[in-house]
Amino acid sequence: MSNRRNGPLSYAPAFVTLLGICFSLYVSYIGYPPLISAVISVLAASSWVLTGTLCPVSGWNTSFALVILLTFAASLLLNYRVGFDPQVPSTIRSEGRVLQNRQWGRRRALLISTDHGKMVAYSHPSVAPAEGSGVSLRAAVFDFKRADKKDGFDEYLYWRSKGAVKKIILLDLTVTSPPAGIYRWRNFLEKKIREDLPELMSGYMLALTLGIRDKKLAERHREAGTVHLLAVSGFHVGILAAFAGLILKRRRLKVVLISLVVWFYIALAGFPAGGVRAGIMLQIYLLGLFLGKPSSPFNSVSAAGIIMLFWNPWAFHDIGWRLSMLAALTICAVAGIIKENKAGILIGSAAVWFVTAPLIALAFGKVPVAGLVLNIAAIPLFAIIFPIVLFCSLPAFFGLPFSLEIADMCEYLLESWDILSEKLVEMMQWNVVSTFPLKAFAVILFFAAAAYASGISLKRIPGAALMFSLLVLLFA
Amino acid sequence: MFGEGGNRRNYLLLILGLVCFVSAAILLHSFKGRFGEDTAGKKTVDMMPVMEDTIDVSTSAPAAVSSSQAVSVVPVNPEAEKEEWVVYITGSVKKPGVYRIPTGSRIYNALEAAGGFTADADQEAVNLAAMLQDGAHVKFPSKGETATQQQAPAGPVQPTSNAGSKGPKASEVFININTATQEDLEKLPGVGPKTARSIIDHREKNGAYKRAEDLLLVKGIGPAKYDAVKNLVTVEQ
Repeated sequence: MSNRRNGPLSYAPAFVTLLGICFSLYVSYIGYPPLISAVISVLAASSWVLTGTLCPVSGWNTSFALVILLTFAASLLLNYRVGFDPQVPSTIRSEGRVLQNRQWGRRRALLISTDHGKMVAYSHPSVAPAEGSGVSLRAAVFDFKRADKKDGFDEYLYWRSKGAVKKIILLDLTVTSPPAGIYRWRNFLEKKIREDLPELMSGYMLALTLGIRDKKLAERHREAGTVHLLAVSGFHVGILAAFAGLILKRRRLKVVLISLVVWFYIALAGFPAGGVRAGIMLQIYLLGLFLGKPSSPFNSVSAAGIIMLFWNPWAFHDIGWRLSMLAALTICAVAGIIKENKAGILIGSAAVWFVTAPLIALAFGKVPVAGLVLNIAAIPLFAIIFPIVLFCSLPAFFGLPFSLEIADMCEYLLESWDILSEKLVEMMQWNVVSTFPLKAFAVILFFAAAAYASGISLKRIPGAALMFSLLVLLFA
Repeated sequence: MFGEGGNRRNYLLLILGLVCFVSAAILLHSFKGRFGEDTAGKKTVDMMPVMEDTIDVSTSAPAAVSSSQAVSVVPVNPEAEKEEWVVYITGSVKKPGVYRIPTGSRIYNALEAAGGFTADADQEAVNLAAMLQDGAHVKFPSKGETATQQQAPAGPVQPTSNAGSKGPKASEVFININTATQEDLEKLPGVGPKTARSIIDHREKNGAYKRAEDLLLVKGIGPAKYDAVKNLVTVEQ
């Protein structure tokens, strides 16, 4: 990107649209009508392009008009979709399927597909049907609870971002069929992992393959600031794609194989936001390779974000989606610096930590400073550890000789990491909470990185970063 | 900060970009306050699309329902003028549910909204030309099922929260859970002093019940107890 005169339309047009859509979804959420939100999105997107372009290339006017038109249409459509209120009777009878069964305090939260859309029911663990079970139900329908205070947990936003439309209290629930398809695989694998593997291996394998977080393990990683390692994301998808790519040499077959393996994995993990984003990004990248016009990673991530919002505009309020997008965009934005600089890995890791810190602090109350240091070692280390855990699990699954010894060896490796990270956390027991200076720094850093990746002239990056940060900080 | 470039077009783009930015900021600022209040912390009923969930709960104490074939029409919050009506369509239609339809609609409009008849519907059982009214519950019977349709004026009384279930006889007395005393509530099956107290406490803490289903939010009332009392209560305020 030596010539930084052509601006965002040449380097990251998808980011322009994503920026506009995100602005419009946010202002629509705080109460602006869809049309006004769409106009604001267009103005913000136009401003990003116009202030970032020094020397328009031939056909720039048409590209600009198309991108802005697309941004306006997408913003308007997504805002209308978000504003659409599904009409549901007060009591429903329906056949359905349990799409998700997850821990919810002492209870289980069930996401159930019904004739009236996806519904959420909280159930006692002893009567909660397994994920994937077919069910027949009668239930009373209720609205979700809003947050009691600003920045408090908002049940409405949380479940709408997962696709649910209402909350139900089950009056009757009958299991009509056992788990089928991918759910059967998930249940089978979960049982196998829990039964055949030692504690730490089991925890990592559950997170790595099924997206299920062991409570103790997640807590330890949270304290170390490395909990993102347990969430299926681009990191895991990338490792898998790299291994799948090693198997075949023929380019076309390789693309097909990588796609199949990656999407099977994402489905097995329960379609987590980070995994889906990475899958779409990879698909866009592979398509570009196939067509001989590879898209920049930053643009691919932006396009993946837009596709996810089109699938479910409420995903904008999902903290998983936000963290995944912010982290991936920042990594891709600073990838150029990483390539050119030996200390780039430090810059990348620190940039992601700072950009995501305010969101994490908002959701979990604090961000451990230890994560800033630990992630520098953890990310490359786990890129090796995860495949080792996966391969060391296989003998135990198939009951092969020495499986116990192999599993013990792997467990020892994980314990070693555990001890090391604990020591480091003890040495740096500081936590950061959500404060305005942290937010301001994170927003400015993000827009500076985004401006860099969008091909905005180096001299104009500070201006663009400050302008857009001001807009976000003043009105968000 | 923006001084790179030098030719006129560069500056024109820059100025245009700044104009867009300032316009966005002005637009955001001018609407802030009018629309731009944060939603967090507000009561669900204020912020969220209100569920059309109250129409199938009886509003008043029972009066004589002359016909056992009645399909109840149960306005909960009768308002003189509304731009649209909310009706509940059940029975042999493709998409049963609660629908908003324009004021002054007739039953065939509601049928269209519900996707039309199913194959087994008795298409002559209900007078499609009859006028609707806000809060109506219209059930389209299947072939063989007794055709039932009746328009009731204001204040009809048969609760229909569970279509097909047996409602109370005309001689039975509904208990208004919004005004009932502890003694009144204890007359309900399965409701003892503790649950009756909980019903009153919930009412005092969260405001009036809007529908019978809200009883499920009361501590001590589960599905079985709710099913036992749902046709014996009313929520008239």
